Amino acid sequence: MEANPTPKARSERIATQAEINQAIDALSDVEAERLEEYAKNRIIRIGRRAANGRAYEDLLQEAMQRVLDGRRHWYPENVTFAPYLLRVVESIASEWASHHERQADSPEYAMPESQLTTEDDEGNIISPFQRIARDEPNVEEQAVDTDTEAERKGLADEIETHFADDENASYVLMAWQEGMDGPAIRKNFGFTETTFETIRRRIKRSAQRIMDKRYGQ
Amino acid sequence: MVNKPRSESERLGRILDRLAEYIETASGAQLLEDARLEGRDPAKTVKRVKGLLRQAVNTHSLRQLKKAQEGYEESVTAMKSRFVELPATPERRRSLLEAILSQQPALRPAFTFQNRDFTELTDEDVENHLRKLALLGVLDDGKLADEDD
Repeated sequence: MEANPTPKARSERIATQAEINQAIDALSDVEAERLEEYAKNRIIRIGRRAANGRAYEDLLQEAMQRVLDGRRHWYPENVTFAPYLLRVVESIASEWASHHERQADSPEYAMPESQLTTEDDEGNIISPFQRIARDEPNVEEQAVDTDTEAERKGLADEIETHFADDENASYVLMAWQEGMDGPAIRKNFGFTETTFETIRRRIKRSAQRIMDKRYGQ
Repeated sequence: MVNKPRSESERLGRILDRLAEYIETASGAQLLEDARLEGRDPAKTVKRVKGLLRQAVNTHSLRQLKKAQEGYEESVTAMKSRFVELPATPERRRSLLEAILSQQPALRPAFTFQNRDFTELTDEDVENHLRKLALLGVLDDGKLADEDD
């Protein structure tokens, strides 16, 4: 019996700037498509407030910037450029989302006072600062969260409604929302792998059109 | 097992996570076909993405250049401020250099006048040597300072 081959040692050589430039030049159509779609998806995933005015382009550039300035290291012998950059994009999006969660009250995420100003029962204008001074619960935060929730509900509903007449796609969408993964869905609904893949593609294409229309991407 | 989402954000998030999974794992042919069906031109996409990444490279290079320039300016400023401490007259600068080299003869070969008589050095030579010594930190030594100034 053949002995197990020795696992290949992982290289710790960090890419040079010349290698990074070459990798950008060599990016294929497929890799660019995957990166762009993934970045768009992550920006919508983290939501408008966590994105804080940043678009998918900013996410891609931030990923690149971090590789260049050494906050992220690309080891070219271990992984090719595009899949590596995709992981950086994922990680930054997640970082932005958790930063927002931790710092929701920080001025970085502040909204203009005009958007936070409300009226009392008698129609008197109440500045958000008055409420802070009175140490009352932050109603504005709740209002913004409600607004964000409504926007996200609207998008999820629109995707669902689009497939109202497509029974299989509706099942898959429902299962995704309930946290089921591919194998569990196939087993539960009796889909073959090919059928499931076809449904998944169909959902992706339509959902993408809906999102592009909503977010103008 | 059914695991209901706790919010609308989570509900949408789960859909988007599965779509991201698809984007990551779909074959290249599928992705390109999807792009065309969704109305995107992959040739334009690759151009756009490369442009965005190159722009980040350029921004980074400009930052590096600016940083290097600032570093250079800082060292020039530091050098100039050191030179302020040099003796005011050529004679006193010459005496200072002589004193340094006699206190630290090991430094002598580092200068080019080993085959020349010290008196043959021009005032400019002396000043340049003192500047070099300042950069080496030799002039920081209190014993070598021009105490008469």
